[in-house]
Order: sequence, then C-alpha cells, then structure tokens
Amino acid sequence: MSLNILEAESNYEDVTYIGYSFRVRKYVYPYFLQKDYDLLSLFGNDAIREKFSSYCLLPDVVYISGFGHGYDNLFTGQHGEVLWKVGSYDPREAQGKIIHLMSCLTARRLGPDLVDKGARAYFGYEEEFTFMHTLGITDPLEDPTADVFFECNSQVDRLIADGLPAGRVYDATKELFREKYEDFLARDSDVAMTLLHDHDCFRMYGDQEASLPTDVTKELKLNTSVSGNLSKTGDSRDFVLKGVKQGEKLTFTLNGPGDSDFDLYVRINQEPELRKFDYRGYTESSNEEITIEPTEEGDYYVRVHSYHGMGPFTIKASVPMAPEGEEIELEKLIIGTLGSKDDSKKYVVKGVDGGEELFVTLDGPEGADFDIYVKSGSPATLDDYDVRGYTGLPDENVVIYPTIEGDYYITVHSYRGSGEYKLRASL
Amino acid sequence: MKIDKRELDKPIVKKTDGTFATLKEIMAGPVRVQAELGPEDHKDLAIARFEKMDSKKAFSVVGKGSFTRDQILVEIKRDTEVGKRFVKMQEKFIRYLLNRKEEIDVT
Repeated sequence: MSLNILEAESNYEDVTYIGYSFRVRKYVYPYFLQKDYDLLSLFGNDAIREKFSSYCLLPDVVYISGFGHGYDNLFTGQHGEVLWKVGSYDPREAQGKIIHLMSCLTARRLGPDLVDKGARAYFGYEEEFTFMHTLGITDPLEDPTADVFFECNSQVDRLIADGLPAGRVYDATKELFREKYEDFLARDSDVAMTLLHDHDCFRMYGDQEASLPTDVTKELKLNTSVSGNLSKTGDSRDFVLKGVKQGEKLTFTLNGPGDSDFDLYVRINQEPELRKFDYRGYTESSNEEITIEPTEEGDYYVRVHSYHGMGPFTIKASVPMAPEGEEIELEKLIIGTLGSKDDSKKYVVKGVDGGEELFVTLDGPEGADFDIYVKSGSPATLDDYDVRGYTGLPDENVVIYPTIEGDYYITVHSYRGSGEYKLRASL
Repeated sequence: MKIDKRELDKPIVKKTDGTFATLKEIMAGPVRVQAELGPEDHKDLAIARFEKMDSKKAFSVVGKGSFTRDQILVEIKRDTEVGKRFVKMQEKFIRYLLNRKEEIDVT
C-alpha cells in the first residue's frame, strides 16, 4: 500500500518566504522525507488550484499540510491563488484526510467546513498566525527568533507523520507552544506574547482518534536511496522493489545508526516475515548488504527490522549500471561539443545531498538550440527526465529543488545545430 | 516564573490619575488603578508597550505582511484592522501577566 502526503507551500513575498524556508528546509519536508509515505509536493509556483485539487483527489492521499495566506472561508497558495474556498471545492478533496493549514483565520469557517465535508481532522488558526523575526537576516534559518514559531507549528506535521492520533497531536502542540512562551518570558517577552497569541488561537476539529497508518509499504527505485526511521526495538518498515528482471545482479544496502542492530529481510512476491524470507542480512550491526545473483523475475519485498535500538536509516536497491556519462564535479565548468542535430552527451553528478537547490546551466553556441535533461537516480533521456531546459535558445537553466539524495544525470542534446557548449552544475 | 527584565519596565495598567504603572510598580506595592479600561486606554497601553519593543525585530502576520516597531505604532494610531489585532494581542498578554504576577520571580 502506498499512502501519500500532500504538502503545498507558497513562497512569494517576505512572510511566506520565511515560513517556506523553515517548513521546506528544516521542520516539515525533511521530516516527511524520513517517513514511509510518498510525498506530493506543491512548492512555490506549483501551489496553484489546478494542481492542488487534482492532487487532493488522487487515491491514497491521507494527509494534507499547507502553508499560505488564509481568511475565514478560504486558504490560498502561490500569489494568493485560492486553493480551497467554502462552497466551491469538491468535497472529495477533503474526504478521509487529516488536514493542517498553517494559515490565518481558516479555523473560523473553512476548517469546520472541511470536517463537515468528510475530513477526518483539521488543524489551523482562528486568528492571524503571527511570528517575530530579526531584521536584516538574509537566511531565515539563521534567525532563532523566527525559528521557535515554526518549530511549534510544525509539531503538528511531525507528530501526525509519526502516527499519533489527532487529539494527542493537538495537546502536544499546545504544550510545546506553552513551554516555549514560558521559556521566552525570561528572555524576550515580545516573543512570549506572540507565542501566547498563536497558542490561544490554534484549533483542531474532527475525530480525536484520527491518525495515519504506520504500516505502509514504500516503493523503492533502483539506485536511489530511501530514508526511514525505526522508533524502537522490534519496529519495522516495509518496502517493495517492483518489476525486477530475471538474471540480474541485485544488491540491497542498509545503513543505520552505529549503536543499533537493524536487520534486512527480502522475499520475492510476498511480504517477508522474521521467519519467512528468501534472503536476509543479519549481522550485529545496522549496516547490512544482500546481493542476489541471478535474480528471479518479480517484485522484491523488503523489511527493515530493529533487532535492537532505534534511529534513522537509508536503504538502496542497486544493479550495476553501464557507465552512463562522464562524472562531473559540482561547481566545475565543463566544456563539450555536440557535432550535429540529435547529438547528445551524458554526465552524472554523484552524491548530491538531499534538500538542496541544484542549478544546471548550459551556455550553447549562437544559432543552435541545445536542451538539457536532468534526472535523479537513473540516466536522463529525451523521454524520461525529472526536469528539462527546453527553450528554443542555445542557453538553458534548470533548478531542481529540493534535491533527492543521490546521483543526478544530465543529458545535453542538440535539437538544432552544433558547436561548443559550457555546462555547470552547482548548489 | 522568570521574566525578561525589560518587561518589568513596560507599562501594564493605567492608574487613577491617568498615568501608567509598570509591572515592577504593581509588584512593589499597592497602586490605585482604574477599575475598567476602555478601548482608548488599551490602545494607549499598547502604544506605550510597543514603543519599548526591540527595533531590530519585526512582527509578521500571515496574510497581512511584516511590521517594524514604527509601522506597528502607525497601524495602531490609525485604528487599522491589523493595528487592532496588535492592541488585542497586548491586552491578552497583559491579562496573562497580571493573572500570574504572584508567580513572577524578579530576583
């Protein structure tokens, strides 16, 4: 089963820029990435009604977390575009979901309306969510004054993702606000006053017992690391690698905390159990590797189990790949040549960190039309890419944000013309 | 309950003679305060308190924008919607402090 979290984050002026920074770079998005849910991200210019409504209607969306301006009857996304308005959204967008809107005033009418239309629970604010920040700081994450407000609010997302029921999430979030404003009373009473205000207007409606299932099976992609977390001894997380071909060499690699003992179980076409498996990695550490050669055709189910201890882990399924391009270093300028129309060159940037902003820029020859295709985890082709720069010009710029930890493949392709180009990938 | 020293010097009530008393004065001994404060009194108190705010910081109200100390004072004086919100915020915080003044540790 694959369950989805939908995260919509607007970012178009000072206030949303600060909130976006804390939520996407620190408290919410990175936390969701560690969890066993699929993430549907509508960040910045993607946080628009058309995409939001279609994502809400996707099957298996269980939690919606949104940040944007709001009023008593509506919630907005990028540039104030209305994402939900009382009386003008499809009730199926809310049905069966837990919803958190970090958005002013929505607890007055929109929140209760979402619950009336079938949302399991709603979290939001009855008055304006207000925070303090320090003037003149360029990177919001360096401002401890602003940090505390987003730490408190993000508690909702983090505890929901942990599987806690809505009532407990509400109580714990209120408690965190209370702890923080009492703490700030001694240091900065204006911050304390503002935290008290947010604490007092924070609301939850719906089923106190509403929670997300934690027994989800997350799909692995070849050669791409996936993060997870085991919260106690005996805890486990399930994954599946679909469509493995016959006769390959397949390796599962698990890396966990140094002070724990995590094990790895693999079973073909069925979920493994601790006593029913086809392969297992069972050392006394939490780093395990299983190599299967030759593979049988089928879906490979994988369980990561804590024999002892807790903490984050990464798991990766890999098959040896033919060299798929010249390895290039971040920030280094690459000079290459395409000889004719439809000629292409392939590159790979290895070991890019997750959550970063990756820029790929191409400077091609005058009169030509060169394009770039970028993909994480596997080679980018003209038909299979994450992002492409595809104007009618020789120069292209693409931005990948946030990055997924792993390798990024870049293909430079001549749509028209030939000549020398300059390529650079940078963070 | 420990408290930011600057808070002790902020006005927190209006005395019967129309002047303000600080939290420090209230805690030091009996102060004759007005039994009830009207909207203009709350506004005056909020202005006096925001005047002592750290000018290197600003308030951001999601949906309304960011406000420096001077901008907040203008909003309050002009009775704008956001200005009224800032007055309410101070009013609630004053009530919170007065209700817990016995617990405040000034040592």
